[in-house]
Order: sequence, then structure tokens, then C-alpha cells
Amino acid sequence: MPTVATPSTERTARLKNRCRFKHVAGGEYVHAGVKAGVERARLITESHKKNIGNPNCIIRARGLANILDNITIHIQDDELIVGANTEHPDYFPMYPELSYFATVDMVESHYCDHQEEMREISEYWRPYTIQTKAEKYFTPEELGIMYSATIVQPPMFVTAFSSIVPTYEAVLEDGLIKRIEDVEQKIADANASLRESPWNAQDKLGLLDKIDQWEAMVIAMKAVVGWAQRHARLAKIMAENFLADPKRKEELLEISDICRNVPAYPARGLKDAMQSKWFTYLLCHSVERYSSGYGQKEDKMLWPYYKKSVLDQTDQVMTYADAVELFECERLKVSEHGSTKGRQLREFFAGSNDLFILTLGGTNADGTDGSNECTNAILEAAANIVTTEPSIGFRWNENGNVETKKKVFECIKKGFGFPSIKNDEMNTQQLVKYFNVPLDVARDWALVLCMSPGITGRRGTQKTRSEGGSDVYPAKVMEIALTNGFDEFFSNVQLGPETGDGANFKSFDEVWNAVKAQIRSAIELSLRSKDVGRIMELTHLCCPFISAIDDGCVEKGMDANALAEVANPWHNIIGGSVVVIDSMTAIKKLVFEDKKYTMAELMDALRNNWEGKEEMRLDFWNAPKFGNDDPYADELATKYYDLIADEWKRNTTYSGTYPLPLAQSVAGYIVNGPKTAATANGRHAGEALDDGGSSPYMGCDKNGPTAVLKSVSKIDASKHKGVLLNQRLSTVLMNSDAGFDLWHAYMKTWHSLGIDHVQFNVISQEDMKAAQIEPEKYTDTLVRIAGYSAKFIDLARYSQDTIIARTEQDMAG
Amino acid sequence: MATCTCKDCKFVTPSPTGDPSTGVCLVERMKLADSQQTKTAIRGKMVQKSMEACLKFEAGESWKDIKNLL
Repeated sequence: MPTVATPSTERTARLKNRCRFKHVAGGEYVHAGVKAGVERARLITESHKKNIGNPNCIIRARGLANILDNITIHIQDDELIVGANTEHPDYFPMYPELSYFATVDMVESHYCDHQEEMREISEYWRPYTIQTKAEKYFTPEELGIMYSATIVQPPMFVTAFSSIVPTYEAVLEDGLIKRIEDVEQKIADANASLRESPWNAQDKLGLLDKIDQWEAMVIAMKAVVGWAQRHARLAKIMAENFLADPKRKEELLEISDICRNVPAYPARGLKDAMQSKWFTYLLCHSVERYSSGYGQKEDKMLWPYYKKSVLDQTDQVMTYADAVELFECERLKVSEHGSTKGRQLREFFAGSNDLFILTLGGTNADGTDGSNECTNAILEAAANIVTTEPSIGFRWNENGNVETKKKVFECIKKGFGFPSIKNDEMNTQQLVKYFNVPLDVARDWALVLCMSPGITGRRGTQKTRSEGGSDVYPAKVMEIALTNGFDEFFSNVQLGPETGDGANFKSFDEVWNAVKAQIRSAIELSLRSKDVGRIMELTHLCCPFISAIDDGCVEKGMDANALAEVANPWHNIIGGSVVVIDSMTAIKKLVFEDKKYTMAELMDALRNNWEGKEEMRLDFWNAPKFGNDDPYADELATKYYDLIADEWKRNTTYSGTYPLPLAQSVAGYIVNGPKTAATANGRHAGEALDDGGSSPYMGCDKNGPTAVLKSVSKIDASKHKGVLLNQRLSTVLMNSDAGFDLWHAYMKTWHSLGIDHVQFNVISQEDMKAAQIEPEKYTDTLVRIAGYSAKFIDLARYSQDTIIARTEQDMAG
Repeated sequence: MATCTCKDCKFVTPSPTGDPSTGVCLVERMKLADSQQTKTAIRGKMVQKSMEACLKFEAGESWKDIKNLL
């Protein structure tokens, strides 16, 4: 049956009906009317021209100020949360200072109505972009490899993709006026120190850059306060001059009061906190620079304000139902929020707007249950309004309360694909063990993007994707390991070192060592591009506002891109790990143990896409497969995941330690399928890859859900930042009277096996096929891709088929 | 066989590469054997957008119809 949304109020029903969703499909925005807004690009360019010659942090601060002082602001009917990143609700902003390629890609698309002006702007910025600044440190061949998006993701200085966890708490607790006063005091103290006797250059000269950074922070924070006041004035003008409805007038006057108070001053109650959080989100993720994500431990962050407003009723008094309505409004605000991305990323997030993922559950800093009534209200709002975004990550702790877990179950049962579930204890311990985070701080972690935990709070949070992120594509890496490092299938480019032709390999060790050498080369190229990008960011792309709200940056007078107070390096291994495992397993068994085929025969079959070799292909297809609790395949899986952890461990990144790998796929398993030749697991050229980090290949897990869990449990997840597992569960069982009990028992098994992650699709084969035929009846039917959810009807047929092809697990079986 | 075309790239679908002057032609589609769980394989080929369009190119706005894209 189609999923049905049940907005809790008429307001949120109206807001949903007119929401300008910004999700993409097939690399394009689905909704007609979505356009590229030009004001941000125009205003930052105008300011840049006037300020060249100043320190970069000052240029960047004045650029932000020019945007905030002049960008068109708007408040829409029914809104309770106000503020946007562009001049029009249909638009998304552009960032000409980041990547020339990403800007040109958008400017030359049908989304840009100001092509002449934007061409001029993109050419103006070309020498200043972090792309141009970074490219000189790579050879044309290296750039060609990275830009082909074959073995590694194009670097962040080209995609302009980033991720951040803003230090929301500093804004909510302090307010910006206090922080401005604190920073101004630091400038005054530094100036006094410069004049102390005797003169000591070693001690004092470092203050010059700090003074610049602090001055930039003050410029940025004052501009933000002014921007919020503009919203306050607009709401008041609308209430007093343009609206007849007394209720809406009252709401607008309250909105005006809220925007006058936050983020200038501390939040008084839940309405203030939500608005202050939203303004901060816009600034950190979308106005100052673009960053993906919705990284926050929302129930923990908002709990003090929820308690004041809903439970204690001391400030901005509201009921539980009012809070649920506010969270529904937040979900719609996020759904309407547009991000600009080049086509490579638009395809990588098929069906999605952006990777907006908030985190709930887990524990408090003192180890007590982190779920509370605010958690339940957020989950209830998600269940009511039925939007793909923001997705939710739930931290599953053994001691978490059952009532909240039932709310999690209700969302999953409806087929949303979220909350996705992370092992709370394991991920907390990892932050302590690998990154030296104090236990009480580690306990406040949230997902930075889909899968990677990072700390939250007032300082030390992740500020850029060059700290953690970027991808290696293992299936393609294995393909070229068998073709002497040359891509015969897709790009005709030498992508990696010359490791020999697979046809000549005489032992399984030769296969293994070739794969290892190619993985090593891909990892090192990718990490180097990230760290070079990091230097370009901190040199040319200072973020004075993001810095101003981090206690560490303020204390040290440092830009947020430069300060790695808490290291959190991680690196994705995207879609294809299980193809590699299954392929190596088949080669080991059929070529080197059973000796049924030679490597020369296999290479000939792969190069010809198994043509005329169907019997042989079926032998490889039916060889032992990961996901069936089969020790033969699982042993190689353990060895493979240990290999990638060890290979990353050889390297040291900007923040001074080695990155942990994170196996997942987003829609990379779809996008990279057509670039990957036939593989030895019996897969054809151009077929999709495996859909997670440890999800068995589609249709290859035949021994039930517990066998899948046992196979996955053989991976030492503690060495990885995350290992994504997709599972499809029976709609009949999940909706039966025993549904929760069965699922809860499954989750206990999952937890006891020490597995990192799991997320579910609960949708029947019949419903998906019916939705393909009559999509108009399934407008609210969501599915999990990997790391995010999407409307099923907005996926292309090739992508839909990969969801249908996943094995439906019967938990009672 | 997909007959859709891309408005911007002269090739069949948009380009999932990092460089907007290159694209990925996804015109070649293959129906898979019944033993496979998915129905279709798509062969990707990296192309320069400055190249002449192939014979299968048809002018149009296929981006409005996503069914045959990835």
C-alpha cells in the first residue's frame, strides 16, 4: 500500500503541499522551477573586487557581510522558522570562489537564467578558486585520473563538496553579542601586548595574524546579527502593514521578537533555539561556504530549551503537540533548502537533495540514556510529515529506553529507510581510542554526514571535508589490478601503477598483491588531494563566522580550516567492496584451488563481458558469496577489510594521525556500475555494484538475516569509521502484531555481534513494481538508497531495480 | 535501448565526472540473464563533449524524463 503522510496540523499540511523540494534524479532537479540564484555570487564578487589586498580572512568576512547586508530576504506564509540561503524559495545558491568546474557546470545548465553575468563572475574567480590554487600541485595525468571519477572521487577542490558540524551550542548558549565582546577584548589585549616592554618578536609577531582573524570574526558576527535583525524588521513590517489575519499577525510579531533576540542573545526557549539553530545552520552550511550534512545531536542540543518550554513551561510556553509541529516545520525547511552541486555529485545522491542527516539517541555525557521526550517529538514529526530529509541516525545503546526504540521502529516500519542505526558503544569507544577524545565529550557524538561520527559541542568539531571524507572506488581498483593498471573499459587511461596482466598471474597471492598495490596508489592520491585542498582552504577560503562560534578558534585566533583541535580523519571506500570480496573468493576457488579455469580464460571472459561463456559465468556467480555465513567467503572478507584499514593506517593526514576507512556507497554503487567492466563474481559489465559497505551483493544472500549478520560480524568494525549494512525486511512481518518484538530481537542480535551499522527498507516487491506502473499513487513512498533515503518514484528505472533486487529478509525464518 | 538525449551534453545522459568538458555516454544497455537480480546493465564510455554526437543522438530534453537515466 502507498505510504500516507499525516501532518499533525493544517499548517504543516499546507507547508508540505507548497514545499519547493530540491531533490535530484538522474543528475537533475526533479521539480520544475528550481533555479540557480545569482545574488550570493554577485555580492561576494562585488565585495572581493573592493577588498583585494586585505588579509584573506578580512576579504572573506567582508564578503559574507556584503551578502548578509544585501541579499533579498523573504518570509513565506505559515512559516514558523524563517531564513533562507537564497533570494527566492525556488533557488539554490552558487559559490564561484570554490570550484571553477562546479560553477561552470551550473552556469552552462538550464538552471541558470543569468548566464552572461555568471560567466563573467566565474571567469573573474577562476584564478582565485581553490581549484586553480590546488591544481598546480598535481600533474595533468593525476588530475585526469581524479577527474575521471573512476578509482577515486574527484577532489574536494573540484567538487566543492564539504561537510561540517557547526558548534551550535556556542551560539545558543552565549549569543553573538557576548562573543563579539569577548573577541573585541582579545583584540584589545593583543594590541596592549604588542606594546609591552621589552619587545620580544618571537612572542609577539604571531599576534598579527591572530588580530586579523579576530577582526574578521567580529565583522562576520556583526553582519549575522544585522541579517537576523533584517528578518525581524521584515516580519514586523508584514504584520503591521500587509496581513489581515490576526493569528498570523501575532505569529509574525513573535517571529520578529525571536529574530531580534537570536542569534544575538542566548536562546530563551524552544522557539528561539530552533530559529537560532536554523540561522547558524544556514551560515555554516550554505552562506559562508557550502557544506553538506545536518550534523547535530538534536535531542541533546535542544533538550534544555524543550524542557523550559514544554515541560517546565517557563519560557516560550508550548505543548508537546506544538513541539511536534515545530519539528515538522523544520523538516520542510530542510527539504526546501537547496544545495548546488556539479553533476557528478547530483548523480551520486540520486533521489536526494543533499546528505542532511541528524542524530538522536545514545547517551548523555554522564552515560545516562540520551533519549528524552524531545527525541520522541522529533521522531513523531518525522513519522507524520514523511519527507526524505533530514534523514535520522539513531545511536543504538543497549540501555536506551524501549519507548524511544518503538518510535524508531514506527518510522522504519513505514518504509522511510531511517532512522539508520549505529552501534553507540562501539562508536563512542572508537572516538576515545583512536582520536583521544575524553569519554564525556565522545558520548556527545553525531553523524557528520551519513555514517561518520564526530564530536558535537562548543569546540573541536569537524569543520571541513578535507578533515574527513572523499572516496576510493574498490571495484574499479580491482578491475585495473587485473589489467596492468590501465582502464581498458571506460576511460582508456593508465589509472594506476603497472601491476601486470591478470592473464599471467600464477598464484592467488599475485592477484592479492596487485589489488593491494592499486588500492595503495588510489588511497595516496586521494589523501594527497585532500590535504593539498586543506592548505588551499585555510589559505584562501577562511571562514570567519564558523571560526567565531568555535571556542578553540576564538581562544587561539585561528581559522576553523586551520585548527584541527580534535582530529577526525576518515575516508570512504564506496560501493564495490563486496564485489571485490566475491570476485577474489571466486578466483581463489575456481582458478587456484579447483583449477577449473585459468586466469587467461577468466581475463578473456571478463574482457568480452562473458559473451559466449554463460556456463562459466554461472560458475563464478554461484561460487561462495559473502553474506551467507560461509567461512570460505567470510575469511576473505575479514582479510580484505583488514587490508584496507592497514593501507589507510600507513598515512598521516593534516591533522596528524591516520584516517580510518568507512565502507558505504551512497548512490556510488549505481553511478560506478556503468564504469566498471565485468567482474569475477559473475557480474556483467555495467551492472550495479553492491549497495553498501558490507551489504551482500543483490540476490546473493540466500541463508536468511542471521547468516548476513554473522558474516558481517566477522569484519573487525572497530578498525573502521563505519561499515554500512542495508537490509530489506518483510512488510508483512514488520506490520504484524509481533513486528516490534521480532525486530527488537533482531536488533539485540545485531548489537551483541558487535556490528557497526544497519538500515532497513521495508517495502514489498509488489508495491515497488506497482509504483513503477502508477507512480502518481506512490508520491510519499520512500526507500533507503545507502546513507540517505529518496522517494521511490523519483529514482530512474535502473536505480529502482537495484532496490527491488535486494533480498527481502524474513526475520521469523 | 534508450533513445533519450541530454539537453546540455550531446550524449545520452549527463556526465558523472569531475570535469564538465567530459561526459559519460550511457547509450548501450543490455538486458541481463534471468539468473541476475537486476534487469539491466549499462555500459559507460567516457567522452569529450567537444566530440561530434553519435548517430543515436537526438535533440530533445530528456532530463525531463528520468526513467531511462541512471
